[in-house]
Amino acid sequence: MALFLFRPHIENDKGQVTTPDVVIDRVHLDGGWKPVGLLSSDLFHQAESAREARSAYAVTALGGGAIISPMVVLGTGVMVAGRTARRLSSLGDGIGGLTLNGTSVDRLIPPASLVESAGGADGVLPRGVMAVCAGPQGETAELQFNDADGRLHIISCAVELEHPAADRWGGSAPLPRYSVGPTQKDVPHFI
Amino acid sequence: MKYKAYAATMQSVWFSEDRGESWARLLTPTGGFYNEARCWAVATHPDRPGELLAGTDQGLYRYTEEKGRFDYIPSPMDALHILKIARHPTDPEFIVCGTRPGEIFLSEDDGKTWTRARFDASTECWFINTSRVTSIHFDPSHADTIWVTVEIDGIFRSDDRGKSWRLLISGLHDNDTHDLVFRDTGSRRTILSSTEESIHRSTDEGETWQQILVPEAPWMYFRSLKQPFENSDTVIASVGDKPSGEAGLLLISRDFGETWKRAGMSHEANSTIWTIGTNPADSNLLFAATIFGQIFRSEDGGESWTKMRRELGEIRMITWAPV
Repeated sequence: MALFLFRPHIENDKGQVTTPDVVIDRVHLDGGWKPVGLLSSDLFHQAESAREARSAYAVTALGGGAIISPMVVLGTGVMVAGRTARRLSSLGDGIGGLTLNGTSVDRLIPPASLVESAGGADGVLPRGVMAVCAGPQGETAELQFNDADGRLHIISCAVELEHPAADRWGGSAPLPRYSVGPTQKDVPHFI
Repeated sequence: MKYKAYAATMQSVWFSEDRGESWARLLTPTGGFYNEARCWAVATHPDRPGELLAGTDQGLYRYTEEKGRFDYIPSPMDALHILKIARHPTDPEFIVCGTRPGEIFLSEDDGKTWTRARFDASTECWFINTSRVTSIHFDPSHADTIWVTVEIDGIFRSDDRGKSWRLLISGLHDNDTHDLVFRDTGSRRTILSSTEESIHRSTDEGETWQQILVPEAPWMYFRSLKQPFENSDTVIASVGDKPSGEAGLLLISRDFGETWKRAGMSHEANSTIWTIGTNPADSNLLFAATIFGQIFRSEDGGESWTKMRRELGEIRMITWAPV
């Protein structure tokens, strides 16, 4: 059974944080279910000629409710789940004025509608589900919102894209090396 | 002086506010990460008292006294073991992290963005399968030079803030290298490295190394080397019977490794002493810990050590800083 281990770092309105390990076994994007193998939290990715990426936000079933987190959806299909997240006691709380890269999510898909599109009901997602709404182009997704006390919060996820042919060694990559360890002697059956 | 001691353990980070007598972790519901996360490294900030970076098996985290919690720092190291963290002493925005597998990651902006260095550590190690970084040092005299030891591969030096690296192993009896200390007297520089086969000395910027046998040590497995303050003639060395070992002790040299004597210890060590913690704010105050959880404190510059009653399971690093 395929799964993605999501490790969100979640803050609530009281400034408390937890970092649970969450098993994601279904992910919903653009009106359909996608392979969870496309989920990643790595911030460095490879893409071919087009540096195509869309900012996004995700709602994930968790604990007694859900969390919201920034995401970047790459042209390769990879969905990069940012690990910085915000806890929602309900879909109506704590996300006042929510914007994604400056665009109100009400002009995209509001969280409540996003949850419904992924099979949720009454604002609650099924266990193991992450619902994703992709927004404007960008390799950075920045979510801005006000908490219950009106304080502004910003959480973001930035992906660094490189060409698959990029060579960090500048064309002179060293050969893989073998260390035999403290013996400093040849280990012929391994080398 | 009010200070906190910090221990990186296989059950996250422990804090002591009473000179190491008692220790506590942050509460998982409010502290920021799982209390049984493995933590190998902590690094304090020279200008921001109470701030701490922690390298774990779940990524890099930052603790501040203001928030009283660890906050996650996005980095490319989430899936790696973050074994060592070093901040540049005069440019603390510059952070260098070392991992298992043996890679080096650089941040010039206090952790906001990261670059993977062109670091050519061995990709496989017959003895421990995967090489790993055991220490990172900013050169005390050359601001752009960084030194790294790798277990098991050798000693690396970068003269351009981590952009390029050279492996320096000529003369090492053993390239299982663990730690370094530096002494500059006029134009003469001496470097000591701890290895699995005793200590090695270099007087030519690491180009060549000579083994120093230490008859005062019953074993050859040297782990941590620390000076109570920068460029000190005094060196404290930890040695054990093996990794992780069943015995260990501390040695002290007042002439930068020429001669050694055993430091006084209130109790026998239960394993190799893995880590020694110093801070320039008080060169007489040091902490040391065995890999299997014993904590020792010295308040006389490393001459004598008292074991704390509290033990912490498995300790990988111990340090302290004023708060």
